[in-house]
Amino acid sequence: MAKILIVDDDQTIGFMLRDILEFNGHEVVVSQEPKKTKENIRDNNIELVLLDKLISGVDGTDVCADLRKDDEFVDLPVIMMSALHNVDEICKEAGATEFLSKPFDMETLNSLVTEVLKNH
Amino acid sequence: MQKDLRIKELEEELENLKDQENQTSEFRNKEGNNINSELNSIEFTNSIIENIQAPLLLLNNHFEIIHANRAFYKTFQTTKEEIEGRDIFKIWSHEENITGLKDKLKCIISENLQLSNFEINQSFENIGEKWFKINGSKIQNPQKSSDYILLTLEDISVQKKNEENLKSNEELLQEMIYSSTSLIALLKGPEFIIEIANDAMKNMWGKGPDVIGKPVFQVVPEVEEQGIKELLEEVYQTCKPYHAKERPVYHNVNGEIIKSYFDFTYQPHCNADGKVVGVGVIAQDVTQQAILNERIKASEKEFREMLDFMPHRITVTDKDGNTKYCNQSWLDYSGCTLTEFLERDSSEFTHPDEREKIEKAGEDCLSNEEDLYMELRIKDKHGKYRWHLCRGIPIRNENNEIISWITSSTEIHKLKEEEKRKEDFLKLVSHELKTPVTSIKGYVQLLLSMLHQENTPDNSVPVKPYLQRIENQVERLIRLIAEMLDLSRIEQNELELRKDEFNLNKQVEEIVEDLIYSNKEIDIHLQHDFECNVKADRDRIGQVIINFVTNALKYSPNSKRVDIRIFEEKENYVAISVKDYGIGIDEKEQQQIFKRFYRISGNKDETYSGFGIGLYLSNEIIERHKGKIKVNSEIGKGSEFIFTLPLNNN
Repeated sequence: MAKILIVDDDQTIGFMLRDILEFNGHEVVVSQEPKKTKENIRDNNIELVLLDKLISGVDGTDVCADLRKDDEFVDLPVIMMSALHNVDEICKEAGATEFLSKPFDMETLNSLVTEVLKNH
Repeated sequence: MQKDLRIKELEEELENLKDQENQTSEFRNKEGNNINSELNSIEFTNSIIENIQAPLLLLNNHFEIIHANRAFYKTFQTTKEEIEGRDIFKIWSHEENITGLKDKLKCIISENLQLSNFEINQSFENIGEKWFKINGSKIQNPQKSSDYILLTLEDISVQKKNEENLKSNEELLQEMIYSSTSLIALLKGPEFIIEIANDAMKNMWGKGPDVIGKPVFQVVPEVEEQGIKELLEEVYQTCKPYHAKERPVYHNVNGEIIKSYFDFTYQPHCNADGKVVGVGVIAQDVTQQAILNERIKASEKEFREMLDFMPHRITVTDKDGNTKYCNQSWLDYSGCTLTEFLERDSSEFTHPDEREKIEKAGEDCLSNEEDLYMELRIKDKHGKYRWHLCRGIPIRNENNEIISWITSSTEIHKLKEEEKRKEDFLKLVSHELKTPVTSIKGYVQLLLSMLHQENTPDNSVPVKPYLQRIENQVERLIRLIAEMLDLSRIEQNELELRKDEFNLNKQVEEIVEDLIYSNKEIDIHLQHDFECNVKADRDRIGQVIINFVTNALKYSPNSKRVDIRIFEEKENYVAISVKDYGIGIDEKEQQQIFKRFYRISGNKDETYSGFGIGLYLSNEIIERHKGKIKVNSEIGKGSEFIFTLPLNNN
């Protein structure tokens, strides 16, 4: 089981993701503040980040690209999520390990998280 | 034999004449006259006769040739042997009488009449047809009772021929003048007396043949005041011709004033000394042509004005693309004068990214013979590119060769912007609807999963809080859908207001309580500087306040503080302001935010979620209450949104 950080400005989605992942035995931190991502990763020994693309004031791809610039987080698994159409390529280009399209099946989320963790 | 006898007789007669001459000379010498004897000699007389260039003939009273001089033989190409002693009429003609000559000769003999300048026209044996002028007189022989006739002949054939030619030319000229459709007249003297006026001219004047000999301004007094008199006088005085093209002239035809147009020439007419004695007038009635030209000009003017009136930008270029014409809309848009525009290359106005596309479209148009049809960005007078829908058609000549192009460009910039905004809006709607659906789906699947797990005790499944969250998200969906419906109602102009009187301060308080209840973190400071009732749609006003507060929180990522103030505005208005300490809005964007689908952009597009219709809806609601909506903002410091409502709104 892993320590997972969820960054999404929509509180309900954050809580929903936390509830599902905790139900599967993960330890989850929810943040609505993308600017504190690095701080949250360090403070909580995060092993996987679920990052929304469209966050108030910040574009999730910038947050992801910023993580990849840092040696400390260059290999950290990041799953980017969005309800926008046709943005998976942009997210992958920004350094996302995987992309999850909203809305999603719980099973898709779980298997994607398991797979990403296994590969890292 | 008889002929020889007759010749002999004539020779005798000639000898007699000579003797007579000699006797006369002797007599004169005897009288002691100082006349040179040589001068009196018969040889000398003969020599004179022979050397006279005009043909001479001496006839007896039987009209037989006694003597002819050398000039005669030469002119008639004959010899002494052929003619001497013969009847002149038998030599010249088989007819007895040549056009009355015989009678005239008889008169010379019998009545001693002179024959003067008698003209005959005769076909002669050796020299063909000729005209001769004949002068003759009787010479009396004092010795003999017989008389002689001396005839001098002058060949006037060339002169006659010339006269004939001249006469026939003159007749031709007269015929030409009189039958001509051109209007021809000759006006003589400073009074401009009509000497010649052909039928066409008289018809145009509406006059008969009695105009000849009258001054022209007596015949057509109406033209005198139309500057015609001055023109004629100038030609008369300066001796310089005057030419007019399509000059309008008003004529009085049977009491009706008719306007006609003429091409005409006033030609000075000079006498042999070069002095002007009259003015020739040659005119052509070009009324039909002139009217047609006027119509064409008027029609062209109408078309030009029509083109200038159009909002579309029209150009005409030659086959090589050089602009020959553009309408006013182009000049207004480009800020160029016509000369500047025509001098500039048309590619200067198009966006550099599209020049290749234009060239290709032109080539396709030529190969497929289809009209040019494309969307292009065209530079305006401020250097900004705006979208246009451009259409071009080639104009071909009868050989199917392109001679010019007509292009029409219609500005579609606003449409394009609207299209883009609609696309963005659809993306946004889809995103915003998917967000609550994501939460609902997640919680439903989680609950199902939990309830299906056999080892989970039923009472440990958090059904109630999860259902609560699902319900909240369903509410959110309903609200989003309602907003979309409001938008559609505004578009159809069907947004109805239900106006009731209520206390505004109380309503604001209730809204604030609800907001704090659902979001404990927000820090709202409410200030009542003015208390009042308003007559308005309570729910719609509430919607505006919630929209302001929601925006204040959405665009303040680092601050949860929102100040709400109710205060009196001048001229009987109440105002509500909602102030945040967020990212702020720059001045340019402040003008746009109340438009549909507009959202404030961060560093990248689509940075902020939320419908772009909230402020648009708020603006519509307040305007329909006859209130006003505005924003004060500064980047990095926050924004203050204010709306006003009239206090006596009925």
